[in-house]
Amino acid sequence: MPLFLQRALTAGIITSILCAFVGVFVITRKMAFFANAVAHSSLTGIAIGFLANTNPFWSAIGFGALVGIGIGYLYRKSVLFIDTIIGIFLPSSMALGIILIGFVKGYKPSLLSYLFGDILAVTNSDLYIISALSLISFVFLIVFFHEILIIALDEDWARVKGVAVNPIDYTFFVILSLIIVVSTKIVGIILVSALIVIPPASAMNIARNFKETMIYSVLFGIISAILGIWFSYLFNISTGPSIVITASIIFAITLIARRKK
Amino acid sequence: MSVIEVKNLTVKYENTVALYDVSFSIEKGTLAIVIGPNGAGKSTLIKSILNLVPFEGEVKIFGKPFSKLSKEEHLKIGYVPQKFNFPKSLPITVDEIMHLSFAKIPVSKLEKEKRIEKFLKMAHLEKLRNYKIGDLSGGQMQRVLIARALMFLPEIILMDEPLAGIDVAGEKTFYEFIDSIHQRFGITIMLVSHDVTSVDKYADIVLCLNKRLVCYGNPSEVLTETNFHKLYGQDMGAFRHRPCPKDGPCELYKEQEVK
Repeated sequence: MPLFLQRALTAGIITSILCAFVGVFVITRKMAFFANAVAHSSLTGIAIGFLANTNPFWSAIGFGALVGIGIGYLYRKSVLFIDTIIGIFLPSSMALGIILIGFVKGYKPSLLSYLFGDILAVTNSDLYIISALSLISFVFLIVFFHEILIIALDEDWARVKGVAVNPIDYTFFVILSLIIVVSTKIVGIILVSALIVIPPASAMNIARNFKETMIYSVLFGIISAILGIWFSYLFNISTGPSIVITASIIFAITLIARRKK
Repeated sequence: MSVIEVKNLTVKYENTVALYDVSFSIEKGTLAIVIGPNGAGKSTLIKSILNLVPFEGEVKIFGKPFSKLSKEEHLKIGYVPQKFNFPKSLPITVDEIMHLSFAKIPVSKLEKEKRIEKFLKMAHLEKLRNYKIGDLSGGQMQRVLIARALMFLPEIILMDEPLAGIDVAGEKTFYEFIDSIHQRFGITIMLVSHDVTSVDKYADIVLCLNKRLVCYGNPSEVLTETNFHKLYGQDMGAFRHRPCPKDGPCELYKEQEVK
């Protein structure tokens, strides 16, 4: 197997596991579009990186985390619904990103590669960064698994029981933003929410309990990444969309399986 | 000994006053029922006591402000929310909810299992243990939330309209269940209810709320025509089943008379 394909597979599997894992919490909190808003905001972060002559990946993570915290803050403090808040952040940050990219002199980043990702261009250093950030995210999600879930299900009850809701929740928003921005490297800004939403949604179609939901979700995430990358290589098609279509096919199969139950 | 103390409590939501200058205290082992019309601030009162909404004034539980409670004291407080806001399609079972709620609580695994089994049985939920919560009826879900609150062996339970989603037949069973746990464990219970007919049968103390505290005390003493008018703008006849002397003590509900 060519080296670039090995790197792509490794990066794809790592991010799909994380996205599928965190996606269950995202769906439980009914905030599937959060991923879209943070992913689109990363375009602004990328533009800032180019303008400041720094690595756009880090500025994208920083700006994505800021948007994540901003959405989380307004969600708590304002009377607006979460979808309205996301509906404000998503186009605004995207528009800002497009304007800022216009100011970049000399080499201009290819919008298409950011919008749709380029997993086959993942380098060794990209892979190290993805692995390190994924490890940090995974440790947080495992250590605070119960707290994150109980906050997602019943925040008031968590507060009554003395759970440190605000610090855990804001850290969750930052980690989620981190996962999303890292994943844009794989499937791009436009399709990243698919990695977060589709595997857990497929799992929920057939799972009998929460434990099974987590297991199936991660399993479907991995299968989507492996088959998607393989199909992309085999049929010479774009990798990001190929992963997403594979995930969608799995969703359709689980939906049929649910109806037949 | 007072386990809940509220002094000059005022809650404002932007420009609306939800509660104004409310003061009372609840003694240990009391079953207190909060009644009042829609928008009277009943849920806000429960949430203020639990520090879930910003307020002015002073609220103490176990003699301390909520923010100063220790981890152990937090565990002694049970809370039954009005509804459980989760996606119905989420496959999470009754058993998983109970175990999740118990996670990271310093109680042995064996003791946790024992308590979960005991309180699910007490709430007549033992057969529903592996049901997804999205498949439960409103009444069954309410019983899950009560069992979840009880398994911590709390000293205080606050319930925000626990009868929401329960039909008329279920209300009687619910009150009998609450009464039995109150008698059996001596827990201080404060619950919000729209069902004024059950108040003097079960409550030790009634709090009549209409943004202000209209009345507070023993149901037979404070449920008067005057207070009812202040509270609902209607006569007691709209709620009771037998004549009541004007402005005097009144029993609102007598099971034998209904029969």
